[in-house]
Amino acid sequence: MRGILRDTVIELLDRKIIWVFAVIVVLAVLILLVTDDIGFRFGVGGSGEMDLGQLNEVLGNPILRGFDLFMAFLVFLAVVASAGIFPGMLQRGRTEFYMSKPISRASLLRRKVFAIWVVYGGLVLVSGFLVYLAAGLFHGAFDGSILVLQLLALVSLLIWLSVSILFGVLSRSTVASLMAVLLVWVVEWVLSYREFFKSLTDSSVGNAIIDTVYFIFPKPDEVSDIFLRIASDRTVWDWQPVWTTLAAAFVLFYLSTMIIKRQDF
Amino acid sequence: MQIVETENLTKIYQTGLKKGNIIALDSVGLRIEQGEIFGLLGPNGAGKTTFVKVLLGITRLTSGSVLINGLPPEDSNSRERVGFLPENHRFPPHLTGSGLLLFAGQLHHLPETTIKERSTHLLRLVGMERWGTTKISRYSKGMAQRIGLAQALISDPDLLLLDEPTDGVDPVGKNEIKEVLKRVKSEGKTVLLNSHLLSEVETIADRVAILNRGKVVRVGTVDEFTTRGLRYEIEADIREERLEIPENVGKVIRVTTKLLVVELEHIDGVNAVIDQLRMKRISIKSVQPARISLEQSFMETLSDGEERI
Repeated sequence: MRGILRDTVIELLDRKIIWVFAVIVVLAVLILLVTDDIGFRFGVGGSGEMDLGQLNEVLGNPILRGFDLFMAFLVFLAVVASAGIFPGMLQRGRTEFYMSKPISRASLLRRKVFAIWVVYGGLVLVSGFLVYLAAGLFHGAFDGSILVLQLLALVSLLIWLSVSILFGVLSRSTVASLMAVLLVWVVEWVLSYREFFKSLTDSSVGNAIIDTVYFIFPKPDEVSDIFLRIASDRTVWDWQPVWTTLAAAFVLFYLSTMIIKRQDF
Repeated sequence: MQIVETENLTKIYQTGLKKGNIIALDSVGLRIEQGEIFGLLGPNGAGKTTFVKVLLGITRLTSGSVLINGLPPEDSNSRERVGFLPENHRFPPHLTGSGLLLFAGQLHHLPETTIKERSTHLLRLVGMERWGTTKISRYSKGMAQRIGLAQALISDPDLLLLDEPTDGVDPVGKNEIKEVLKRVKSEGKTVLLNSHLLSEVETIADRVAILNRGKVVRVGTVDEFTTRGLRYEIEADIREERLEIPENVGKVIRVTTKLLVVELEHIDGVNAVIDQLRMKRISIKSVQPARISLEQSFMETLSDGEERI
């Protein structure tokens, strides 16, 4: 495990990805620094104003939401940055190096997934923490509930990795892997309008199919909303998106394992 | 003791429906003994690389059986004491030479102190001690081959599988690699050598197999490949003497003023030919079995196979 973890860290440093994260953190900190005060002004129906307390009831804490967006962006970057790792590992000439060693394919995949999750997840967490620290120092916006969003970032990364790694293993192509991530995101967005689609058809079979697809499909955006609710002390009414998405992620990892075990290299 | 044993090993690559299947290996049965250098020869596409990949479990066999150190390739323990230098390798370019050896050692579950000791020794052995801290992406082809050989040796393997090890290496480097292989052999280790460079295989291999279109067409010692049965070359001062050999002894293949080539019916025929030369008071300088190069033998074996097909 140590070797694979170390290799993942060296690859991360070699690909200069760490600098991209550093630039983003610096920019975020600079924005926080030049902002006199974090103020939010929302118009409701074109007139009137809401204080943060009222807004929290409707949208959740805006600071948390802003931080959530920032973390989602970091997760997105981590997914893009790591999408080429498996296709790179499985390219001709490289894969022979790994597979000629006394380590099973399933174990190799498991260890590498864990290493990517830890290393890239760590990078996301450290970047997020630095921005959070800056926000706290400059504006006194320390909030313990941000830890929930840090956890969300790790969960979110794991979910997206399950997609990018499955398609990376299947196609051995970075582009295909990223396209798959994009496709999942689009399908999730389309499925969020499932009630509208159901209203278009009277067929109970059609409705059942739409519900089933929604049920088994990963729903990272809905998971993100649930974590945001937790972070802003609001009630979570339905945990189904969390456990169905985690189950989908584990199924995708399982499929990746099956595929790598059966492939010829 | 056999370190590699294959029986009826067949590998069929399934391609698109219209293209049909490709038989990469067809009922290959080979046994490689511990401590020998075994050369696997064959033209491009003969199945040599597939054979090695099947041994390592990188490619799945379609039917037949394979045992490495008594274990099937599906068992990752079968690779515990195996080193492999792949053809056209692309080692992780972000690693340095020493980093690659450390990573390879860790994948072999070796303790870090052992890896460090062996790395120092191996970098020196392959002439890369000055380049250990340089990234692999900056290596020339020959340097990458050398570091590839070092990573294959990091586990102190009982079996070393080398696929075109001297590819891209300069003549000095080739010679050094040859010396390393001799040293490995002297330590009782087994080497399976896939190479196009038959002159190299000829000088270091003990036994050779020729693979063509996925089938083993011939296996034998290098001597068996390079000697031509009972054909002998006799260097002598023949001048214009007329030589005739009885039919039951053999026949004259070629005769010049200084060389006589005969094909004998029996090994004792050598004495009969020498006696005849001495009776004619012809001075004999040397008698030796007629040899051909491994390359010539390889070409003849392949063309024999083509004729049969």
